[in-house]
Amino acid sequence: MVIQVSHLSKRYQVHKKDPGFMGSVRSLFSKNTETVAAVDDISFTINEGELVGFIGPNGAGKTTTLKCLSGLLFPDSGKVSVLGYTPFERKEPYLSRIALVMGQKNQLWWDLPAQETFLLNKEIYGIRDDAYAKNLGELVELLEVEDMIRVPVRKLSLGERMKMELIAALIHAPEVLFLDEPTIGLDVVMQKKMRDFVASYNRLHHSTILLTSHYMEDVRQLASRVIIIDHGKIMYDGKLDHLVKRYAKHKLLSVVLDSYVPPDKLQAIGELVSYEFPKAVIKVERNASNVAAAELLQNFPVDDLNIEEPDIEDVIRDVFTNAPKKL
Amino acid sequence: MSVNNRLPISSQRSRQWPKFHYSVKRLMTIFSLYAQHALEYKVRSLVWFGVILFDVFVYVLYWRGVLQNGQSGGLWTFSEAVSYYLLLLVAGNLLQIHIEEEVAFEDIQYGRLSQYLLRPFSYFRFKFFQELPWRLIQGGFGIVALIGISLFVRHIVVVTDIYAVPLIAAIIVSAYVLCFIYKMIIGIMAFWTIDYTGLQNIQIIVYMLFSGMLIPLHLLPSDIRAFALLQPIGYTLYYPVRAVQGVYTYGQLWQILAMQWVWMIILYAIYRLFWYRGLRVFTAVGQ
Repeated sequence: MVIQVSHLSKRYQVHKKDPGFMGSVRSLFSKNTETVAAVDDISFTINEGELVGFIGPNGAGKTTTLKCLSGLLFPDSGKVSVLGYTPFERKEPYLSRIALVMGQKNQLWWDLPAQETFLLNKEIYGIRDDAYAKNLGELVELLEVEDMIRVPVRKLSLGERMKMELIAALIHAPEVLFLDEPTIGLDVVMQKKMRDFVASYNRLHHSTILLTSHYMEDVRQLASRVIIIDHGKIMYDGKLDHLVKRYAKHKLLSVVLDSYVPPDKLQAIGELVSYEFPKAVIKVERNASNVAAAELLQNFPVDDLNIEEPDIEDVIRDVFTNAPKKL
Repeated sequence: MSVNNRLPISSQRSRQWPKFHYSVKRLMTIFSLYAQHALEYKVRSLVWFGVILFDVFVYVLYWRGVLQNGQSGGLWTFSEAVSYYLLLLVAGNLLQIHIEEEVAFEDIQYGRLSQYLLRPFSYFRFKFFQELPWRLIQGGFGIVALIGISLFVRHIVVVTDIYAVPLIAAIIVSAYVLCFIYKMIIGIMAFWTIDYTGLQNIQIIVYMLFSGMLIPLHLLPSDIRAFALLQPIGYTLYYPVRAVQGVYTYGQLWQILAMQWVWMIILYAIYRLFWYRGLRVFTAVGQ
């Protein structure tokens, strides 16, 4: 077990002020303080080499959890163990074996080439010359940035900077990698490249990776296991496909028609999600999908028919919307 | 690259860290990288040097006026004043640390501290190596200016006893470290403040008054002079400048060095206490 989290809680004090000038005056004499549980009694474990997607809406507690695991934040209660260390003690051997990459911020020197930051990290992490050359060569090749490491960071695009950020974070070959929104702000092409890189890195290095992302595509492509968190509590922890099977109450019948059929006739089969002749998408009860498909094939001029799972994003949205309690 | 080819962590990193020569080489490399970074902004260093040069110019003009009117009571001659402020030009650039705003605003309040906390190198050492090149560059400007000015100004009085030089050098190095610890303490106060600017402004006034930047501490009114001469800020600027002026005996130089070390130990203990308490309230905002 590489990561063990047991009943972890982290709360913040938030000052609240009434609106307007009088609110400001009142706050001079009495401050309204509210305690917000960013993470509320969560427990999970992650094995070596696992790539786990950590998902949830804004303010759900994802980043706070990652910060507790990497040792940035001191938990209010509970136990956290990563690679056998207590993260908040931030012992040098522990920090030498982990990395936290945050999409919004960077460690690169703005006016110098990224190579200088890599060299600084080489010394900071005490990496041997041969290991440094090998790691850098591999990362540069995987990310296809041979020509960019000598260019001042300010001259690089956002995507290129993110790649340099990853190299800086991975140059010491961490065994545990925390990725917080690594694709945020990137275009779709760059997002895909990043995903490919993370997948390759996990496969080749057998690193344990915990990934948060707003883009479901990141999670779908990379993680077989997901942890869903909302309001600081874990709502689901398991395989991504199990989540769909267990919580998606519907399936989608995607039909291509031979000839036009009035919409009201299709609605007799199920909820007509979209219809633009010749294509129609019909939402049906999950356990009645085979019957509905058979009825379509028998009674309608069907050219092609597919039974599809609903979009994972819709399933998760339903989880957040309809399931206030732990699933 | 394959799993089998991957070097185990233990062999990728050198386990020779305790070896002194390796540690020195490592620190020198880190220093040279930060120096490279500071050199990128040499114009900024020149501007800051110019600010202190202007201040010194104003102080010398002020004292010229005061001493022409015979208002010093015999405590202070124009030669001493010129020497003091011209040496202050070097000391102000070399020894006056400016790390506190970066610590407070960029690192703590905007959350960049996270990037330091995640690496196996203490934040204190990071900041020390970040600041040192800036001071050396600015101090270099100060020394060049002092040499240039001394070609035209006859009033500069400095120590002539060659045997006192190593002791004075030790006082200068200790002054640097003491000032660094003091400014780090001021910077990490941002853990507990929402608006750090007010604290910073108070700190500037206190520093100006008690470092000997505005007025040499021995010229302060008698009711605050004893305190001013004992408190730690005076040991960061006033005492080193007076030592270079050659006004102290060997015994007094040793005493100054001893007091600097006493203050360093006390302030470092305070820094550690605040640092660990501060980390507990750090929320890594913005990161």
